[in-house]
Amino acid sequence: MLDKQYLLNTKQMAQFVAGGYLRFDDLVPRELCKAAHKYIDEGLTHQGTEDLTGTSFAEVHPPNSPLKEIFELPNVRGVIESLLGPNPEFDHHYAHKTKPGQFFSDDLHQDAQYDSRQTHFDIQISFFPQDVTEEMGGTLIVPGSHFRRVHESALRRYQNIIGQIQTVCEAGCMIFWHHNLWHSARSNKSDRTRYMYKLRLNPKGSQTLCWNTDDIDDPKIKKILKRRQPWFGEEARVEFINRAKLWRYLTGNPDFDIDYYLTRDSMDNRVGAR
Amino acid sequence: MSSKRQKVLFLYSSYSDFTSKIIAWSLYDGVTGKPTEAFGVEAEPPYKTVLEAMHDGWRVIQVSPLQDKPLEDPHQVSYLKYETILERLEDIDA
Repeated sequence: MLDKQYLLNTKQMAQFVAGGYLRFDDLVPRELCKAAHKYIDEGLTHQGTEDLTGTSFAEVHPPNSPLKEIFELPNVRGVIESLLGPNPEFDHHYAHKTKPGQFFSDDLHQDAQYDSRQTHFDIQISFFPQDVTEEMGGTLIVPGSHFRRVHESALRRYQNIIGQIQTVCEAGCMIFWHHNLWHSARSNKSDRTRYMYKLRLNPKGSQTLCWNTDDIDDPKIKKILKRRQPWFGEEARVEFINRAKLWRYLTGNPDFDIDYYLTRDSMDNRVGAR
Repeated sequence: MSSKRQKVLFLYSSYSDFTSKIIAWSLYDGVTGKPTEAFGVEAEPPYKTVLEAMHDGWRVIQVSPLQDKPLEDPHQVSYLKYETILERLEDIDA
């Protein structure tokens, strides 16, 4: 059982629900990053892990591997357990290597295929074991895009969206993101190979109230949930509704609402009109 | 052989009108024939509005229709709603 000091707090959970991701710099010590970098470079198998899909994540990485050590760090486990609950399952992983000069044109996409799940979610973790400069073309994400249901690569012709963020970081950074977040690889214009280890995990059970809830009544939480992304435009309100639905699931509070939208929409039930 | 080539500009507006703010964009350049690359962090759209692009000489060739939300899932969000496709023909050296 993890001490709650390692878990996310409610405000961080609200940031995840609003933006679809959480970024932590310096989460992994540099020495471990070097070991993981070497481990990946020497041929971490990313194909042929189908037999591991659905198994307990704790059993996936071999003993003494740097990746096992990294994902057992209390600060890393704390984020995972806060988002997914205890004992998550392994979905798949992939060691992305982008060679110097490798070009990406239109690449924006959502992983997997159209995902019809209404509430519960997987997380994907991007771990950067080396420093990533802007010219190395680190992963680009579109904050707030995780409620959008699209067909994988059908959105490739969206070359630029206001508010998109390209990852520039030092070794040890991890980004934890909702499985539906729009993202893209970028061209590597440097003379160094870029590495990014990506891991997808599934929840084993309920994701309700798995974090440190000491601050659950903080009035800042609703303000976080009402932060607009600059690209929302006319759809900001329906995005808030989707956030409220996810917040209801995560907190177990069926009455939570933002600006009365869901409450008003359910009045048919109380007057017997539906 | 034609001495003109087409550029196609996709502009995505925050609302359905042509004076609302551009929130996303793409460019396909038939003059150079080279793929365009996303900009990254400091990206700024080439025009603030569709109307501004028209004023600069771009011709509107398609506008996305207004669509109802299905009653069974009225809160579903997917692709960017307000897409305008514009073109410009440019002379090339024959």
